[in-house]
Amino acid sequence: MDKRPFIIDCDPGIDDAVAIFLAASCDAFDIRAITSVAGNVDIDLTTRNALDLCHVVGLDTIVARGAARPMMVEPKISVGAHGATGLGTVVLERSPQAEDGRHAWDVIYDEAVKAAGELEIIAMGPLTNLGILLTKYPDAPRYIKKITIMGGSRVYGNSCAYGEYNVWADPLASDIVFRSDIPMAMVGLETIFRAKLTSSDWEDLFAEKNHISEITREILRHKTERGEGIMDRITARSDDPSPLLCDCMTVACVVDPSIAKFERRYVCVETAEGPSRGRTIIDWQNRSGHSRNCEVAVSVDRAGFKAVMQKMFAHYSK
Amino acid sequence: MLEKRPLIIDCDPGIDDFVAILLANSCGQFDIRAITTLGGNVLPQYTARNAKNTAAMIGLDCPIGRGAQKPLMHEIDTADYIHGVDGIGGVELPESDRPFDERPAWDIIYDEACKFPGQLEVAAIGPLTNIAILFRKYPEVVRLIKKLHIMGGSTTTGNHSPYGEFNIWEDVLAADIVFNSGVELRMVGLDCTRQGQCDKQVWHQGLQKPGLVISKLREMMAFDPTQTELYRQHRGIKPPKDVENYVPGLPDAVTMAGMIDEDLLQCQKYYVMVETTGPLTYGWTMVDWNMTTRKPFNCEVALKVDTDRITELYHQMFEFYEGK
Amino acid sequence: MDRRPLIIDGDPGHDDVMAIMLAYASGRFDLKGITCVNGNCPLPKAVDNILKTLDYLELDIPVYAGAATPMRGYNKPAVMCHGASGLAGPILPPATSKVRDMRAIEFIAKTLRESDEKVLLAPLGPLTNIADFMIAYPELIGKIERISLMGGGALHGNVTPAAEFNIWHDPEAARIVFSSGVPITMCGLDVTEHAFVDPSDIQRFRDLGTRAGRFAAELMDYYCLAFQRMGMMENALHDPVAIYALLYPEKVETHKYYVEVDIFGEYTRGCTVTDMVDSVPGKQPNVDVAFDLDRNDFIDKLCDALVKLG
Repeated sequence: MDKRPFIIDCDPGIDDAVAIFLAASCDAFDIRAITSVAGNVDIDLTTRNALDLCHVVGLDTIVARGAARPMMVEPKISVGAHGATGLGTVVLERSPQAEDGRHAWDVIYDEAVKAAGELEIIAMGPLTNLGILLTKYPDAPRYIKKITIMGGSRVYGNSCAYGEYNVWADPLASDIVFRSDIPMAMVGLETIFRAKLTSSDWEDLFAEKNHISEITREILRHKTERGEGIMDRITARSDDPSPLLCDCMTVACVVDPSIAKFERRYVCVETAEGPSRGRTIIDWQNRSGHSRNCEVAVSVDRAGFKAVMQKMFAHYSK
Repeated sequence: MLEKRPLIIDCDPGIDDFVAILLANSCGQFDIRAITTLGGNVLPQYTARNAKNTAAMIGLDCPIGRGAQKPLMHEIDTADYIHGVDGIGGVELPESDRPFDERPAWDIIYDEACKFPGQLEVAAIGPLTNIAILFRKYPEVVRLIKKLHIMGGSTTTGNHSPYGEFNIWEDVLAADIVFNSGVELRMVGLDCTRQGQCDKQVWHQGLQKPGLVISKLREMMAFDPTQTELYRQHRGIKPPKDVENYVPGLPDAVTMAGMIDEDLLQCQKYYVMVETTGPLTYGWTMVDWNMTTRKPFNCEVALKVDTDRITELYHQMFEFYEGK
Repeated sequence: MDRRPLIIDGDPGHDDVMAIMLAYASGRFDLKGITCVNGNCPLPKAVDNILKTLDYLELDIPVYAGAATPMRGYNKPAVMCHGASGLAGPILPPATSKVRDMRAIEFIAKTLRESDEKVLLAPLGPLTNIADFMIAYPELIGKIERISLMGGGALHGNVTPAAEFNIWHDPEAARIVFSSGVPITMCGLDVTEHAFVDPSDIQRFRDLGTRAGRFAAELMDYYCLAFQRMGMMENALHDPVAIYALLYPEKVETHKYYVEVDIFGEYTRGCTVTDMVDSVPGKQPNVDVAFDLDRNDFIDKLCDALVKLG
């Protein structure tokens, strides 16, 4: 079977880290590059972390530095959420590899052309790099098979009432991506929250002891101690402080699409300054008349996600 | 045919409002039916007090009404960095104990419009909140008002923000309501009023004339807001006002002058829109110069000021108040 | 029990009429008057509809005409679900009573001024009249006990994905009302979607054997048919929920949140942005947002009202 060419665009970042572990463990993926963007922490840290994460997981691929700030708005780093380095308390061995000299968006374009239309992208941070890519290379959509984003939300946001961080941090770039005619899939905050693993799920997973599971456990400790979890009207603020691993679940949906249920809808991004900036507006009723540009994940099966994670940790025990 | 033109001045005195009222009173053309006030340049209690005291000082015996305490949709944001906290640069006018009219501003204007159907003229030289409430409460009044002259907006750049002229900026929803109301409207914007300065010699000679009224004006002209921290926050560091050579802009007075002398302002009809949401151009009055919107003209836009004519008006104003 | 003073503001409107019937028949309100606003249909039609209906049901409630246009003048009547007249369905004899001379907002002001106790407002259409009242009579805002409105939606919209019709029709008015400091119960789509009628309910109205019941059944027949024609199964009875929430607050599930009306968004203008995730620090919750109700009890109470009206 031919491997699927992928590029992962991310801002490691605690959940990006575990997502990279997951992607690297998947035999079907041929990861052509990891591109960094400013988001969870600044660009120096996300790039450094990307290099070191590839090193620790034995992933031999291009690592390219991306955008230091969003396309139009002021940067909004989530201070403290990921620790000073972006990886909580974990210190990784420094990678001997150097960054690729090119910008992230140039690497993405080059790889897209090389892959002759088969390249898929998983974007787990603000979409700035992709926004720049599409602006600089208007023909890029011809070469990109699919973009799956961790971003947006059906309703509940985290950065503002309805705004999820990745889209909210760079609404203009997000708008460009959603309008690009590239086939898209969106795994949003609310869907992820409803399928998040419990603390006991994680205990089961960490029973598999190896280098990666130890690092994961240590990385997640930072998130757990902060008591993450969005306020959910239906389930009330989560009593179980288990961490929400959005990026990881997004990659899992690509690794094993059977764990998620998607519905195709027209999705657009509100870019006007105001209380709704950064919101992904999903036309559930199909009244807008616009073509449906995005597969929206409406639910993820928790047990299925857990199984994917189990398989990942088992992989690293070999 | 009425002997004098019935007029209501809706304002937020304000140093240039003060001069506008002086002009309206001195020119002899108007039957000033009322002065109505609102918060804007400074807080409403100051604007009301200043209007009352100004009217009393110049012997104008008309109802003084109070109106909106704040813009329609948000809290008040004043320009006291220009006018001083009390609106007239700390200058003390003789305190009048005449009571305010009990009716809110919009009811006063409506009552007068009904008394003079088709003939009442209104000069709105502050934010347009009172006028908007008038139009919302009494939609039919647009047909009763002969013409509404506003000091507001700009066809080019603003003052309070890069494109926002203060009066429009202060209440964009009110401005939007007024511009879409169908009332006969003239807009005298900053780009126009910036041209309307009095000849320097005439101005300074006039300021030296004897009399209480002129002395108060002289004091207001000497008020220099530029060295306060508040001013610096808005406009940056500027050299002190050169009082000897200073000739003020007085946009409200230019608007009033345009009502007194029909040939003073060169105007042209256009369709004008108010930007109510755009973060950078908030409060901008956009003129559809090339008629690309195809919407019917809603406004007479003042474009040019005849400085000789306005100098003459100021000259006459100084002569009128000499010794008063 | 004392009857609480209430003014209903609406754009009748099939479900506005049902709401008025529920309010009147409950006997728990001193229904001071009905003010009409442009919304579902142009103002003159709204006034005519309500006059015809009140005459037909022999209800003596004064009617006042309010705003003919939203604050920013854009007129977007929702012709689709209410028919061109705004009350398509039952054929009613022409109205004999007349709309009062006093303007709607003057009537609201007079009522509040003269009332010893605070007054309830139940806006069932766009909030134009309420906002016009608040800007013209700011000194009387404190005499509003509570506003129980039909409008908005915390979770989604209807006319656009983000916005519900009443708020969308006049977002500036809504913004003024929502930031006024008055206690507000927002009965938006989140709760009203649970307040639907199905064919068995309509038959039940008919089987009550009263004129009011037959009238309601005819109204609902048209209302449900209109939604089906638009390809929607939705036949929620929105407006009566605002009245039900005043009558039986214990039967309506509400949560207090900070709600801001979006007037800025390209796609989200008219959205009642409800912060259910505490994302904006320092913002005090200002609205009781309704999410659910006991539908069976809601239908029961409507039936009781239709019987009482005869």
